[in-house]
Amino acid sequence: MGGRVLLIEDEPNITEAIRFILARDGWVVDTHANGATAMDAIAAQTPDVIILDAMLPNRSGFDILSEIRASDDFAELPVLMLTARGQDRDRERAETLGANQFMTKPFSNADVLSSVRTLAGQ
Amino acid sequence: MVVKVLVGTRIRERRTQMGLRQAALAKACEISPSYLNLIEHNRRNIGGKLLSEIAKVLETEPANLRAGAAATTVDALMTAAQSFPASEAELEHVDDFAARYPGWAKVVSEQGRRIRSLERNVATLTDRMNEDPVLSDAMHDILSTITGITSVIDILSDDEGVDPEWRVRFLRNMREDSERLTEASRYMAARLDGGADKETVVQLPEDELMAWLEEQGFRIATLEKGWSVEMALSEAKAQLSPDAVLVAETFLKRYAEDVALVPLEPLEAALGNAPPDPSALVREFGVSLPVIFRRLASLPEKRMRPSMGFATCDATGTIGLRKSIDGFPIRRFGTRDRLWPLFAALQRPLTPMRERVEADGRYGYPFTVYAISEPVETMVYDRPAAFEVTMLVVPDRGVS
Repeated sequence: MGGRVLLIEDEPNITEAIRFILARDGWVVDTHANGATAMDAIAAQTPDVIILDAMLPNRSGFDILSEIRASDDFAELPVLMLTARGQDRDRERAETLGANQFMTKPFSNADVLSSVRTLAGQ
Repeated sequence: MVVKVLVGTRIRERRTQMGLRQAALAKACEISPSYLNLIEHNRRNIGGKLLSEIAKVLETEPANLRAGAAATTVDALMTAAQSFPASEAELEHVDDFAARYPGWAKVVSEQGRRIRSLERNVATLTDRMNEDPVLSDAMHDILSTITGITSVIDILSDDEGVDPEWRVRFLRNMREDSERLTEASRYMAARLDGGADKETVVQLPEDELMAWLEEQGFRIATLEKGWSVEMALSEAKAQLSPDAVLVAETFLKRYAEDVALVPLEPLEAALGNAPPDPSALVREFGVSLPVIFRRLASLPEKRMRPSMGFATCDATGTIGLRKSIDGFPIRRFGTRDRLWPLFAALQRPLTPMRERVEADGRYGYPFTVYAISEPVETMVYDRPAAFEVTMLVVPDRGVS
């Protein structure tokens, strides 16, 4: 296994836990907490998979997702979207905007791990 | 679709009742018999002038051919059947059913309407909860915190073992999260208790219309395709209470006028991928700002083009139409401080207003809000003009 994961999430404790389990599985994990500068982080880190929280300070994850999909360089980049609201509307929106997978908080570590593995294998 | 099926069938019925031959009716209306045949078999969409012509020859009102009490029942039956595709209802016999068992047909159609109305009620209530910023922040906090805790529990109870330094860190995180959780749930319990009897669920016709519009993303697909107002209205009748239909009629008429002035395709072409520029669009289409605002609000969300919010208010400051978007809820009642550009425009008729509204709270992002107050009708000497403010909310992309 292995590869780069960029985790865009503003809850430090969730970030720490996800980083730990992914790192233990052999992934290099970069983290970023600010929605406004997320695109710069993506350009700088060039990850293999992005884990993107829907609610971020300064800019919504949905906005960031749509910019990722509209960009020349990252249109194909696998994105796992996280949300703390399990509404169908959020899920639909994530799908419309081009998320590869969608996960509702609270999720299990095993789910995150298997999603990242699947997405990286694409 | 539903309406199309019915108009032709009803023309045929009425013609047969009168003992009129197809060729005779076609000749009287100056169309070919084969075209009339297509119409009667519901293979051609018909409305406007030709329908009036046919109705005249058939000695009836156009409305009787396309609306009518029985027709509304049939429309409602079709809609009800579409909600339960698995039931494999015999759609081709719908007219038969309505004619043979009018009572039962009423029951089925009324039930369909009630179900949809209740579904919309639930949706309205859910939205109200979602739009309550305090509740939704608390809920977000609780879910996030639980996620942190469960992740850590998973890690700590793992067989692979965790080294002592990390163990201490994770335990500290978990303690922090537990405290947060306790705090958040207390807060939420208090909030729910306090709010329990403040709001009773009264569904105003306007609210019902708003919920109906929201289901369709504030778009009337039939009107976008250039169908007549009557057809759109007939659809509304099958789904809304009679009071809400009255409100819908005004909305649909204006919507159709707007589509005629600013059709979808030219509008999308004019927009491209850039953020909307209302002034440029006004010049391009030669229409007023409110028309542009309404058209923009009805655009579907696309990549790189977020859904836009919308509201109108009258001279008393009462909100009429409203379309909430992510991060910018617009409610009839409750907190309205973010709506101040709307009320500022109210004070300055005929002055285009543009304001940037800063992000609301930790998760918000900024918006540009456009508003203008214009007279609803052409101004005259013998009657005071009623003004209406129209407001458009455009999410600002990029860095705040």
